[in-house]
Amino acid sequence: MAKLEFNFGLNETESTQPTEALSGYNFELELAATRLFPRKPIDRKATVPNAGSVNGLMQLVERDGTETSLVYGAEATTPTLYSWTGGDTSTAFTNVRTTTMASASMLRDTYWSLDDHLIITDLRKLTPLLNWNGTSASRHKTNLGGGVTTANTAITESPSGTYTVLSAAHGLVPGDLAFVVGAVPDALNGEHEVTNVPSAGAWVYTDTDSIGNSSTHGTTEKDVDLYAKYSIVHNNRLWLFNITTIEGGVKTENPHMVLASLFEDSESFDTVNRNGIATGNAAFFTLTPDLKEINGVALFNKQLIISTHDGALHRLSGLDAADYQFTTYYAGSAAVSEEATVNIGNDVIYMLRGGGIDLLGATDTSGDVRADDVSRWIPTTTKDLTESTAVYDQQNQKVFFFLPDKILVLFKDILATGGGSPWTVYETDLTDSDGSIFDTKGVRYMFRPTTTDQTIYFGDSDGNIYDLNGTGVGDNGSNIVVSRKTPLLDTTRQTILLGNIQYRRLGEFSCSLIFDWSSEYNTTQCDITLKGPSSTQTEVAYYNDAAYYENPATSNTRTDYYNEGFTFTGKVSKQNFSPAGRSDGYFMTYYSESTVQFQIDNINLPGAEF
Amino acid sequence: MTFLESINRMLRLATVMQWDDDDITSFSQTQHGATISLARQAIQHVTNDLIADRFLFPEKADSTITTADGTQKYTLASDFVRFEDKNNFFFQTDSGIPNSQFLSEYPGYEAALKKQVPKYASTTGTPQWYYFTDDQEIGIYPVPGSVLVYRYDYQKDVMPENESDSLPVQSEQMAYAYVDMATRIFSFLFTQQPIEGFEKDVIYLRAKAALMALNVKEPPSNRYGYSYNG
Repeated sequence: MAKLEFNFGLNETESTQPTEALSGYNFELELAATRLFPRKPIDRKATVPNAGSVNGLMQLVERDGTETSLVYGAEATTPTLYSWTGGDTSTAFTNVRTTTMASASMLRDTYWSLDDHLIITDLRKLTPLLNWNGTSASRHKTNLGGGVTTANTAITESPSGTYTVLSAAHGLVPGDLAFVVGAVPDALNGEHEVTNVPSAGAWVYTDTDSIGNSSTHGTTEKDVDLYAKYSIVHNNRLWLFNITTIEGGVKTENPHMVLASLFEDSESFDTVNRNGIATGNAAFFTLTPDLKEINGVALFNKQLIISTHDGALHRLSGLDAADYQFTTYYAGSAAVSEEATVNIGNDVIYMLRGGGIDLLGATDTSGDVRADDVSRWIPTTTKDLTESTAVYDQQNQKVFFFLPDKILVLFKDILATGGGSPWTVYETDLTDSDGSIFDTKGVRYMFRPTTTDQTIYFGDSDGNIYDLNGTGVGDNGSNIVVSRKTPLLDTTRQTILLGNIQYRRLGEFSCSLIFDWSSEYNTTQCDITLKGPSSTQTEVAYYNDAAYYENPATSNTRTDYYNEGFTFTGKVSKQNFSPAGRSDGYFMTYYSESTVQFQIDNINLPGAEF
Repeated sequence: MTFLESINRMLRLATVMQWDDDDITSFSQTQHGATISLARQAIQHVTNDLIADRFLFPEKADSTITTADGTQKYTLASDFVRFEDKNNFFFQTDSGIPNSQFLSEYPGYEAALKKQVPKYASTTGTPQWYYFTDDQEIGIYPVPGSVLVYRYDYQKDVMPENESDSLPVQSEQMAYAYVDMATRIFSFLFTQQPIEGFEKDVIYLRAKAALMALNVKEPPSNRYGYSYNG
């Protein structure tokens, strides 16, 4: 008897094995597992108070384990950065910042361990660099002065910790960064975020209490506004990529620029001295070798890798500001999209033009070879893809490529062990006002707030936050549609097919086995109701209490063990089926729409040759 | 035992349905689509076999036709095989028109009527005769001019067609033997064994013998010849 099992995933080539799927979606894979089972449900966890598009999910886990989560509700009129405790109530969200936030921004975070805070960048470069320290969100200091100074006439502290700087025509607005230089006491000097502008001649900032009033007042200098698409911490520096600056009202785009902070100081940058001129631990800037826009950044094997748009991958080498430089991989190795490059623990994976998905490790050792294309099993699905957001689920060893209407899912462990396709596809009936919820602008692998479980959270354009590894009923109550089609299965004889489906009793639901006969222009299907555990009988205490050994004639009132045919959750069951039609071969598609987390062990197809 | 119940029994006997399989509740269920179709054919095969052996006969039934003003032709019951009486006739149930209580078959059938009354298909009047038309309907001459109800007795087909039809045997035991016969045919069809050896199949013949035995008041002796004492 030919037993059909489900070890591997989607294989759209002509070499599909019976253990793979020619097409389909929403079936899950697991290393060394042979069963057919659906992906986990998608739980809606919360909705941001302003119901704006979730354009960013961030999380700070401090050295002592304290965890805070941020959600960016990019509502059109009042885009707001919230801290979030994980609940679905208004009290679970706290507004932490609205100043200088742009509604189209897509915020991403990087952890700077030395000061226990997050640095927040914007893929759209509309919101300047921000900083989250666990309690407040502020402008991230950059030590980049604008060069235009105005003299201060006084700095007064009132109330304690609030400092008003009198400086004529300072030109500042709330949310700006400004330097105070030359004031006495010295503690008044430094880079401050403007919290209030009472008049054209005064501005206010907050700092530590009781510094006191100035005796020498110094000058005010407005900062350069710094925007970056990407950030990463590498070799004790904060690196920023794809830069925009606004200085004196003049916006300068430098999409090919990389800024490296001062060694072990994330708040000091230099846009004047480039690598080689700057030396040692100094901050510096550098440009991409091909001078093209940076569209991806990742760390792999202690190496910093960047991708340039329509350019190539480049690897950073060197030890300090004097000799840092980028080395280029082969032309055409570049990634597409803004977030399709991701570190997957043992490698970097990225999407190429045309939809190919490559591994940097193979590219590094072999160059432009087919072997590095991990999407070679799914050429149809990935053909002509140009946009994707990739995220790595370390706990479940999966890589997700979010597309506008689906997610491509790569099972890293199956890829590593080989034997068949490591791919599946997730689809969902859940939609927001823009279409599928998978068309997300904010996705992150993070801890479920206040827990130690890690998962993938993502948001939709209506402010909803979802857990991709949910535990609820279906996709927020909706059915999960599972489809899985076999390759062409040849049969030894043209007889009526009498097969059986072996499953576990986890919940009653209906499925269909659809047969597409090879020599008939016809499909037929078997609709089968797979049973659940008994609804009237609780699970039997089988071997672990007195129920089994007690004397039924005296003390044992439980009869369930001896009941003939009792059922319990997970019991192995079988049902036969016989589809109308016969042929010398067929494609068989499993199809179901259900909220049940079912398990089908195998499908026996007598006569099929495999 | 209904046709549906017989199919369930057959599919169980043939182990097509086992384990968690529930009984089918409709012939249109697709889980066992191919085997349901085959099982229905097997029941019908047995029915034909038993009719051919003159073990089964068409059953007596009656029905009516209701005339309408100006309508010449009427259809008979869908399970009509033949009229019950040799000299068959229709009779009016309410005697609405005293001189049209019976319709006899026109002597010489429709062919004669065509010659003798060229406008027989449109001439209205008090119905007196019926005849079979070329399309297997009943024509009435003269064509009725009003609503009349005529009853007729006929022999109906015993071939099970619908899920709720009963097998044409008198007891459950007979039905079991009936299904045993059909199951054997099902097995031959399902496994594609050569059907030419089927008439010698021992299992089928034993089931058929059981059905025959159950049809008499007392089972026949299972031994032949005399019994001697001492």
